[in-house]
Amino acid sequence: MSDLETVMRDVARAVQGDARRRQLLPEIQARLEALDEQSRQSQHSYGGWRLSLLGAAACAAGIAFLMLRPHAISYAVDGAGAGRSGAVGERLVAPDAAPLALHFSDGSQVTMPPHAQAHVDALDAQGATVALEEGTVEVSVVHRAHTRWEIRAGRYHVRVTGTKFAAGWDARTQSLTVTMHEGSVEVTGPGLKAPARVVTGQRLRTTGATAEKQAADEPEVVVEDANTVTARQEMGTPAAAPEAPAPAEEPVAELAPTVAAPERTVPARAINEHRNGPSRAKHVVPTPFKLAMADAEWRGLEAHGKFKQALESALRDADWNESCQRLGSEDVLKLGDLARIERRPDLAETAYRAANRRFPQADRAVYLLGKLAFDQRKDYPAAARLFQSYVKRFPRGQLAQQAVGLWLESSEKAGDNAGARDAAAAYLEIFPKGPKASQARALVRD
Amino acid sequence: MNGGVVAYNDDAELVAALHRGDRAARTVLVQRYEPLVERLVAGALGIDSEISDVIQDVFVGVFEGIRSLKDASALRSWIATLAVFTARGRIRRRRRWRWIRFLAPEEVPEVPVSGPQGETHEAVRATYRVLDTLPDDERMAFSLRFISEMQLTEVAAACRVSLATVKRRLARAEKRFVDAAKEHPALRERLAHGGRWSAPENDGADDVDVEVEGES
Repeated sequence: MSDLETVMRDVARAVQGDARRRQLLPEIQARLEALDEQSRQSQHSYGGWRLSLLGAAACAAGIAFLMLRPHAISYAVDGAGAGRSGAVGERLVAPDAAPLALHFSDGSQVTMPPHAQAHVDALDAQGATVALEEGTVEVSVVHRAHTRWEIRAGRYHVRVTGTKFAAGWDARTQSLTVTMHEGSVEVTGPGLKAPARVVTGQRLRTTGATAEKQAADEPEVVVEDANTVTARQEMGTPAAAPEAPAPAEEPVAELAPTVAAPERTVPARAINEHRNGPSRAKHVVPTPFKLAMADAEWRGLEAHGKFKQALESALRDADWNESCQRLGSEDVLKLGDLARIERRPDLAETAYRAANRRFPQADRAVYLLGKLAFDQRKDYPAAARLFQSYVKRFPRGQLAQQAVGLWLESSEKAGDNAGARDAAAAYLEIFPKGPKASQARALVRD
Repeated sequence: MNGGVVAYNDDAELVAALHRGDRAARTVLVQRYEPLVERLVAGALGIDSEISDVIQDVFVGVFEGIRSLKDASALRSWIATLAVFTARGRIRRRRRWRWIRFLAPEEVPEVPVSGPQGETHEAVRATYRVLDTLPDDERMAFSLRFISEMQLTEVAAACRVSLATVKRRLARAEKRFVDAAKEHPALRERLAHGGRWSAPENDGADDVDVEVEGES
């Protein structure tokens, strides 16, 4: 597979992949909405030409007012192949099987995964307030002058300028998680005396803040970083001794890195830090909620092309083998791809083998196992076996032409002449006019 | 709640709604056809910061011209045609203003790609550098066929020319491309590895007359 046609396939994948990663659809929709808005305003203004001079003057004044007055942004609700305009206060619930996307006319977007619940609390010229009722939403806010965006979750407020992050809210436990992909936000709410600034690569978590507890007590905040350095801040009522672990039911906010950071910083103005001994690390079995949050994080990073960080996130927040057994086929294959791209063939192989075992129709898993053997392990006999397996199982698969070509090439590189002839015969049978047809014919003749 | 979205089962319903001025239908149309437009425009322009501008222009053209579309079944090919002509217009305008603002291939931004990143990245840069040397019509035919991966008949429809004309353009474009590719190490190396520019697979159009025809 080294001819120009293959190059063009690589080029196509790179170009289309770049466009997909940039997620142009929301931007396009927001631009078109804005144009539509301008167009409607222009139509209103042109109507004034038919008026009398006095009327025209009044109209001009009206136009000037319209032009100068800041207009509230609007939003459209998109899901399952259809869309419509959304309204302030309307309860939004993502359906069972698909995400729901809110496209705002300023170019910002909030994506709600299945079952997530939210409503738009307010819209104005500078931005929107979105109230998160349940679930983890992906937020992408386009920065403009005077941008004023806010995500509200219970008594927490996440103030945004221009940034990308995931915000998760568990209404039952009143727990908030904010995972930053880009930019920064400020979080206020129970357990935070001053706004806590969360920047790229950090994650803020609050846990255990039950409504009853909040009503009864002033909360205590515990902040932990990845190195399990703990900072505490007592607010109001006397706090527990620094050594004492925070009671599970009390609010806990922790900042943990989502990417490798040179130095952990916890905002001093938000929290008075106290070092709390060498380590308070304890093994915690992730809850389904935490796993979902962790999955949302690596998926978000992967979607933005941050493969290294996505892999680090996936490895940090969950057990790799467990993830490969738990997640759906697309996610398992994505994990494999992340590991393959980052040259971790051991991890990639685990993922692809799990996908192959759990989802027998996932032809990509077999093909990519072959690619791993061919490209990274240079194990050509194994690659030949895997590509041959692909061709036998999926003779009409989307990757059949590449697989049979690579079977041929792997066999040749392995010095397996009989295998190469078998591959050539298979090639001619399936793709008699394929790019390697002449090479295959020569092999069969020999 | 299912998201409360409006569904249009097919293009006929969608076009009828657009003719009525239904604003929700616009959102649905963009959602439904943006991937197609993106594929065609990205294939023509490559990794380019202006892709979203061009896609926007395409949909503006769609909304302005939708009332002239009488046959809803032609919606997809009509949008593809608008995408092709808009992208070609952008390429032509760049060519005219190249001395002022053309994004040189060397300035193609870094892009994360799967697989052998460096090799692929070099191939992308070299490919669009070579495509910049091709006549516009040949470049469009080439990118639609080999990068956007359209069938020959789809390329012909999108370019509003006959199948024979597309084949002729492709043959010329392929020859020019292969000749020019030899000047670029990223492409030359892969040429030298024994592959050849293979003929497009038979997609049911090979039995069509390849005589030169006038363009429609």
